[in-house]
Amino acid sequence: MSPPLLSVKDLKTHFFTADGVVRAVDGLSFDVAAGETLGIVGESGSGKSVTALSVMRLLPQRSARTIAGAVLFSGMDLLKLDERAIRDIRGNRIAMIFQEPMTALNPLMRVGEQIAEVLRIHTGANRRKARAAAEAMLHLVRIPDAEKRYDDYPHRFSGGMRQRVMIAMALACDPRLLIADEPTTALDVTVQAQVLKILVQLKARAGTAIVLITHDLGVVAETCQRVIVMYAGRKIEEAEVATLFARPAHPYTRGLMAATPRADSEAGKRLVEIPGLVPSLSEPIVGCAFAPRCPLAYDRCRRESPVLSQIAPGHEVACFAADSGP
Amino acid sequence: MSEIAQHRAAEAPLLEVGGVTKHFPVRTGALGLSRSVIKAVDDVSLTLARGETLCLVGESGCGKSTLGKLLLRLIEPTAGTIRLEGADVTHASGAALRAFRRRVQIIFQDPLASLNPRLRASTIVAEPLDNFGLLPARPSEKIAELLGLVGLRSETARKYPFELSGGQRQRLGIARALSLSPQIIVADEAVSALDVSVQAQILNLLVELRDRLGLAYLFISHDLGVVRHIAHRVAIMYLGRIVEVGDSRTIFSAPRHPYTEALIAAAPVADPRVRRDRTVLDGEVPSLRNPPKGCAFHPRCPFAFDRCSVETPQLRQRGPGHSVACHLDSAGTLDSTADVA
Amino acid sequence: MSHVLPLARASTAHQAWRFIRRNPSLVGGGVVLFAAVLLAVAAPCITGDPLTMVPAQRLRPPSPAYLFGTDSFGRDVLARTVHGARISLAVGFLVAISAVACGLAIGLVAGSVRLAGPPLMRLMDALMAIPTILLAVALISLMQASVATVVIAITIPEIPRVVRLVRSIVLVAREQPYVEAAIAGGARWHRLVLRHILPSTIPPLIVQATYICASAILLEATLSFLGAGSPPEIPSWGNMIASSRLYLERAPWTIFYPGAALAVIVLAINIFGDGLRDRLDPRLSRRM
Repeated sequence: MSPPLLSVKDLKTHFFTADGVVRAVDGLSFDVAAGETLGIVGESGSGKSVTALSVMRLLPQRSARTIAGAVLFSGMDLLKLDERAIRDIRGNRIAMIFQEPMTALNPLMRVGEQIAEVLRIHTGANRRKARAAAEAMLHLVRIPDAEKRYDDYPHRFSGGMRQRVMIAMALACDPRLLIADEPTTALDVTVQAQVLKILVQLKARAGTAIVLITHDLGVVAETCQRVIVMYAGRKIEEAEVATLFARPAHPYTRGLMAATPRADSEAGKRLVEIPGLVPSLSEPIVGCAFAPRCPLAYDRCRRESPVLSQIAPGHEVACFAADSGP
Repeated sequence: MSEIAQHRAAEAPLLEVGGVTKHFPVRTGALGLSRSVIKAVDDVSLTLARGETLCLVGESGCGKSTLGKLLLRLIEPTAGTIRLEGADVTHASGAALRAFRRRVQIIFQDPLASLNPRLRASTIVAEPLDNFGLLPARPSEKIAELLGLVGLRSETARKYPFELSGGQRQRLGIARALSLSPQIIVADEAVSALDVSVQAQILNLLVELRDRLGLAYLFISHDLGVVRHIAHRVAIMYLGRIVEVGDSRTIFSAPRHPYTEALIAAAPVADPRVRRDRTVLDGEVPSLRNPPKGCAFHPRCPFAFDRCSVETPQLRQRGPGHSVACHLDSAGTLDSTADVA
Repeated sequence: MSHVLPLARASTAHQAWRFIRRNPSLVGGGVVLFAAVLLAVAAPCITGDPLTMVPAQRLRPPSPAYLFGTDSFGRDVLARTVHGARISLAVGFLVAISAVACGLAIGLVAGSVRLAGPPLMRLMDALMAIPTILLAVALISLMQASVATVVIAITIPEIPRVVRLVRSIVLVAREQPYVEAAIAGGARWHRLVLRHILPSTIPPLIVQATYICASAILLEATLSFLGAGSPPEIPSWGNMIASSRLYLERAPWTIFYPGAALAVIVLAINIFGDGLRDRLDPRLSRRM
């Protein structure tokens, strides 16, 4: 078994706000193998986006800090690198795309230039080579008329095209890992399908590993190989995608699936609700974070915090109720 | 068609929209001197029966939000008519418009932005009643009743929107919409901004309220899963026009318009075992400033032929309560004769 | 949630110290401003007579008898400086309140009434095109010289900026979903404006008011210095500096103390305004 491409160990990221310390990520560990697509699923407040920012060392410096853990990539701990070293890696060996392409693209810079800039910085290519390579990337992401569109500014592109430009920028230097934070959430459904298709194609071509962060179970089902479910800053379940959907073990995972209305199901069936709210992350949580909302919770759940345990090969879950059987 | 649907069809519709069009003036040309219009909504006709849920489905630029605002008379149509229980409200103003407001209300997409951040929940919920002088002398009981209707505890009345969660805020918006006991509620992407677990709570609440109070919903959404769950009838919009309308079951099991098929195919399903035809639709929604000639969908349509780029198809009936605007007929061949819907 | 640990309550003194640490500008500027107001209000009780001329004691340097020295007419510079604060602060507050009130009214109309907007804004543009001091001088020359005249003359040039600010806020507020919701709920125009649009203008206006106050104080001093402001007998700082212009080398204290007082007050008000803005803006964005 080759070592994983990315190995996150016991990551803890806290936000220091006027109202207290928010434990956005509270002891998260996972691995990403080379070339695989890992999905991170969770709702707001689960810590999934903060995880991505922590790995990329893109947290807002004044208010957030990763206070513990290690992020191992190619034998280096990303959390221990200095600014220069991490800048070398960002955009080059690990790339990230975000939810809102308009805010991630420089509105005052031509689109092709933004891609070429990445290439020039990381590969030292000269202007001509960088431009040629950037045009090639625009072709690759199916931007029609790539040579002409190279000179356009971001506002002349639609949402889906901007996202493709972002993908082109991210993959320009052939990174080993791409982190995609809700890449299609802001897009129309047909455009989402296009963008996901491009992602899958490009990944197959270059063998890039992808960490896909999303709240949409449908996207996960269609594009990911393995899935992590996060809740209140912790991983509560991990499995291969088929297993997760066929035999979800954690009550939260089951709740999410039952609460999602599907276009191919019978109409009018009452959706199963998950009562209550996500707990506040600024107060230390005693016991299982999901216990107040869990239909299977018993007193052990409120006293002790469950740890991840394997219930089947490749299937981990942090739940006392799931442990003792379905 | 189901019994309920037949019963509804027999009654006169509650809301009748005929040929409604909305143009927005826009400046074009090098110096911005020439004026033209964008047709945000183009010749839309539909009906809404008492207690029925009609979903408007479409992607950005299709005009569903604009249509929602037109039907609320927040903006006025450039052409066409809107009738509520037979009365023409298209250009109503003054007392007639206020009477209309009592019967058609709205819930917004962004729960936070639709609540005035400086007002307490009690003020927000009571305002419509106050506007019409219907607030009782001791309002707290009525307010508690409205809050209870949407599952909020009476203590919530004292809170400000920023103290509430997303789901609570949306419930507050629903309570406000219900305060005047309307007959129709326009829900503009009412659950799109909510987390899945909260979305389920709100959807269940909306269904329960509909059953209990006999409300009709005009539910605007882009999420087919939500639409399937709540709709009686579905209308698909593309670039300002309705391209297909019918029973929810028919639309999802046997869609006729290529765009409807593409939409259903594109929506990801939360089940890796489901194998579907994943032909992905090419291209983008064209800009409203430069709509394609003829059928607006033809540049992206896998079945387009020459007539499609010349003549705009009209909605024609294909089955009971099912109309499609496409030059292909039910056999998938050229359409020569058909009834106008 | 029963299993969540409760937070400990901080003591009042601790909370106060935390407030001071987090809002240094607000507290610093506010304390100085408050002290100045106290001094100004108590002026007749704590200092001597600012008007009495004692020619025998002209241009005396600071001494135990005259803490700030005397001016060219033998008047007590300390008494005049402290009394000058009354003029300056009164002008500052009055101008700030009037400019904000007028600007708010005009701005609300300009932003809400479609047809009134462009002509009102062009009028405001015209007013802004005239240099403030010239406009103030011109207005004063049309009226009898007095402190009230000075207030009016300084208020008018300050109005256009307030109108611009209010109008831009109104234009944004009008598009908010909660305003649409209010319209859909049958709200009439007066409720829309008063309950839904007006409150958004208040925090920026409060901040703007502090800046206007500082600017008005400076402007009054400038006008008085030019001889176009408060009547010369009134002990305003500008007048003091004007009448002591010739004695800069011989008796610098006659200019230094009013000048320093002016600088300190204006600085304190500006810093207070900055602190207020920092507190009100992120508060609003955090709340929302």
